[in-house]
Amino acid sequence: MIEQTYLELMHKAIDGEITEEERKRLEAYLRTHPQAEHYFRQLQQTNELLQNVPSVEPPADLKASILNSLDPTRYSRTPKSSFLFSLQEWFRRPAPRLAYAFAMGILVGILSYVLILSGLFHKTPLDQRQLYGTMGLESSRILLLEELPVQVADLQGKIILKKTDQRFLLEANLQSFSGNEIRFNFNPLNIRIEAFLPSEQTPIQFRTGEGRAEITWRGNTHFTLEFHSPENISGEIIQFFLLQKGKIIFQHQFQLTDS
Amino acid sequence: MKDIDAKLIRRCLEGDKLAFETLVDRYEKIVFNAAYRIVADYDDARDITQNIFLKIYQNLDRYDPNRKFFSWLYRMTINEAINFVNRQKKSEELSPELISWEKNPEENLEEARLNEQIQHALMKIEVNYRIVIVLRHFMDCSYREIGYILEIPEKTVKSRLYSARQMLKEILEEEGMVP
Repeated sequence: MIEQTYLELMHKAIDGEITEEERKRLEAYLRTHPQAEHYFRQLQQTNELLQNVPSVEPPADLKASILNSLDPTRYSRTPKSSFLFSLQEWFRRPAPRLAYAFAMGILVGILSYVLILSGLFHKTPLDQRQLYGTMGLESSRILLLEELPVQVADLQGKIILKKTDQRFLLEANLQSFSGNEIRFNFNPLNIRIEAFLPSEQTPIQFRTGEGRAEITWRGNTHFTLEFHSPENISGEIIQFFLLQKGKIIFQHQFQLTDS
Repeated sequence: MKDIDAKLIRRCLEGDKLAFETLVDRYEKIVFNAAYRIVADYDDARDITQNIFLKIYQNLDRYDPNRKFFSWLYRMTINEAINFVNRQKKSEELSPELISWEKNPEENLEEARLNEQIQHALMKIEVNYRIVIVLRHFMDCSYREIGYILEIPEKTVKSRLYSARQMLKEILEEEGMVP
């Protein structure tokens, strides 16, 4: 029979919550109680098994599904104008909706007829980059500038360069089994680092200095590096180096453009 | 980490959609894994994760900045998963559906087997005990954080966690994983 006090100390030890004095008491007890010592070893093994369970990769399209399900006007930058608001309220009145639908049908029919006749449907080819990640207002639009696939040594994944307002974003999603290092070099007069946002689960080190940033990690990683830059940045570059054991195994230059 | 989240939420409330995308990037995996460990179904875990982020977004203006964002997110995760399990209980017996190779091809055989055995053992524990194991061992929460998330005193957290771990140990012992 194991005393309740020592059972609690065992769990505290497993959780790393035990004090030095309690640890000594527990160790002394375990030395003289083989049954308790066996029980504690089993608890430690259980803990190790839980620690070694691999995390499950979420579905690849989950993030897109989440973002697509959000209401883009929920936190809009521009307050609703009183005219628009009144118009919306007017249409929401419990008046005969059939009449609205009929009127809208006629209006849509007329508009379609005019547009077909004037050939407007074939006028401007769609720039698909403008559709990437767009939600809401022009000023919060996210542009995809470059998608760089990375496949070198045991490392694979991609780095994406995006632009929004006055920020450039480098999103890295890389899988590897070993230790890696990334270095970014840039012109500190025009570009500065705004934020480094690693995935919550990634053990990662980040260092920054004038005109450079260094990121080291082991295994898989996902992070975003935000650069702030003024307007008219065209022509600036961010140099990207990928290193293993101190040797450069891959390099690339990201070209910053305003559109 | 708290400062980063607070900054992202502030930007999101100012209308910056990218800020919320970054929050999803940071927490999607851990929320999905927690949901999966509780409901043991890949597709259900996906639906739960999507609902959680949708609720978070809808209620972002009610977020108390004096609290850690992840505590608030985890509380919502646990509540959503518990509600799902309770709904499931009414209609059918919950059985662990394990992820297929197609869904997680990079796992090696040993990891897949360990994943299967642990998940099977977790599903044998009553959901209130399963949750404390998930919060402590898969979401790395402290006793205090678990107390806040489950709205129970820290003392209750400890006794529930210790009992849950003991139950899990006994199941793993029966299955020969813990000699």
